[in-house]
Amino acid sequence: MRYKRSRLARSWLRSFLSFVFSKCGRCISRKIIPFCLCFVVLGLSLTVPSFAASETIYTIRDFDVQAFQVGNVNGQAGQDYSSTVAFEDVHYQYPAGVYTDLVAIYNTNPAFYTQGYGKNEVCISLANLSLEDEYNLQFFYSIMSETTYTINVGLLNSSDEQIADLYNAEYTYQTGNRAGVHECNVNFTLKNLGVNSNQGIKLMIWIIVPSGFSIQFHFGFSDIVFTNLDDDSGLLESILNWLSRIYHSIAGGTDREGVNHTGIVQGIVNALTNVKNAIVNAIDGIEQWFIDLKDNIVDGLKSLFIPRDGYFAEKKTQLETFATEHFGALYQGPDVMIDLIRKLLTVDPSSNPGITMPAIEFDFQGQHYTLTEAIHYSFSWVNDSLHPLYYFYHIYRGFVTVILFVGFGNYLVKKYRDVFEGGGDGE
Amino acid sequence: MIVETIMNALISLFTTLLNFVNIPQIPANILTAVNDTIDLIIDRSAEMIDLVLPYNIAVVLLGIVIAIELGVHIYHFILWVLKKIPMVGIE
Repeated sequence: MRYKRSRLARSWLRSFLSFVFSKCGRCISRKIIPFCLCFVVLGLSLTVPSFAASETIYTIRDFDVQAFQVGNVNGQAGQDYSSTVAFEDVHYQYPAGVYTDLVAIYNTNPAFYTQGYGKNEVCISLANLSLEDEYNLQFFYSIMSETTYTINVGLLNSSDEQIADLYNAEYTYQTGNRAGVHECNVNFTLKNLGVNSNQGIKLMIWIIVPSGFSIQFHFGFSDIVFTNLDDDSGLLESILNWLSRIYHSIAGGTDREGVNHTGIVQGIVNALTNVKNAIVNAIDGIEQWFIDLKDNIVDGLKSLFIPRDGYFAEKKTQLETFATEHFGALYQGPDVMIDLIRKLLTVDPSSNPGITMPAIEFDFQGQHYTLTEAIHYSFSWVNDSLHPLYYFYHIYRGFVTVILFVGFGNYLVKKYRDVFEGGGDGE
Repeated sequence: MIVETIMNALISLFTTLLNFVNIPQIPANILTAVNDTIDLIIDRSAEMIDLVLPYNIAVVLLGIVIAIELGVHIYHFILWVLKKIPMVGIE
């Protein structure tokens, strides 16, 4: 009897696998792969990927923000208030209905805002800039208090002397005439700015509030995007760092970026220890529930079946955080697929028909060579009724549309016969 | 308490057992570069396709074809299951 059951189970499994493989095989070999290959080859043939840029996204929290009072009109020296700088997330609305997420800096010590002293805040400082490379710095900023302020972006040398002014702006926030969110977007190359050595050169952003104000201001920054437009090693380096992190998260040890990983064996030991702790905590929780029940029997019974407010939202956030931290690239996969499908569905090529032949360019021994520029062959005449081919092309498109629908109808008939009548070619 | 304890226990079990998995996120610049390249491939492929046949109509029809193909496979799977139940009598 047992032998018969096992044979039956094996036959069912074989039958199921054969069913699945036949479906997958038909589907993949006949329809999906050729279509995808055609699409990708067509696209690749007209595309040269440009990886020659490395982009780093900072928030203001990534920097050691410094705050100083500048001496007052009577010559008294100000003070350093860097240790009391704090951050908060702000959801800023300007203009009405348009929300911007910023991270604001402020000072928890009210003495910093004393009237009569100027207030300087050094917000970011980036070093190790290359002389030859072109950089781009882009961010949005705003102030959330009624005051006048100046924002500067510049280069400082090792003696903290300003050697180049890249951006400066002055705004006043007034009720009814809000200063709003502004964008800073600057490109620069050290060599073009007359800098001969990159030793000690820093890119800095600082804000100045004049001495006449005593208002406690919050200054908000969006993500700060810093891009090396000429860095062609960034992507390769990032891929190697990423692979190194994966390897060391399994094997343990220190990766290329100097981060120490515990490794898989230690990870399993930690996991088992955590399981033990979780069981102990659960037993403690049940014990505590009985103690609480004795004190308040009605609430105790209610809490026995109904989770507290916000419990499910909290668990959802916890699981999402865990998945993001531990599954990394795997958890990003579905998002990438959804973006891809969305892109395929929303692309509208008919607005600007044309073919772009990519530029042929490469770097060799430090020199950049461009053999041909990108050439765009425009087919804008398909929308120009005065062009001699306009009507011919539209008749052709109408004809193709009809063929598409006829082909689709033929497919439906064939599929119907295939499924319900066990075969047929739809002729 | 009961619901919370059961859920906490399940989540604790899930998170502690998988705690040693540490797959890093794909770096943002790789993701951006790959996304930009894929976008470019899709844009240019779509432009090429649209020159010879109406892309928007083709996408809609292709969506219907994919839905039908999936539906047929699900239908065959249901039939396969039903055939295993002798009382239903499907051959």
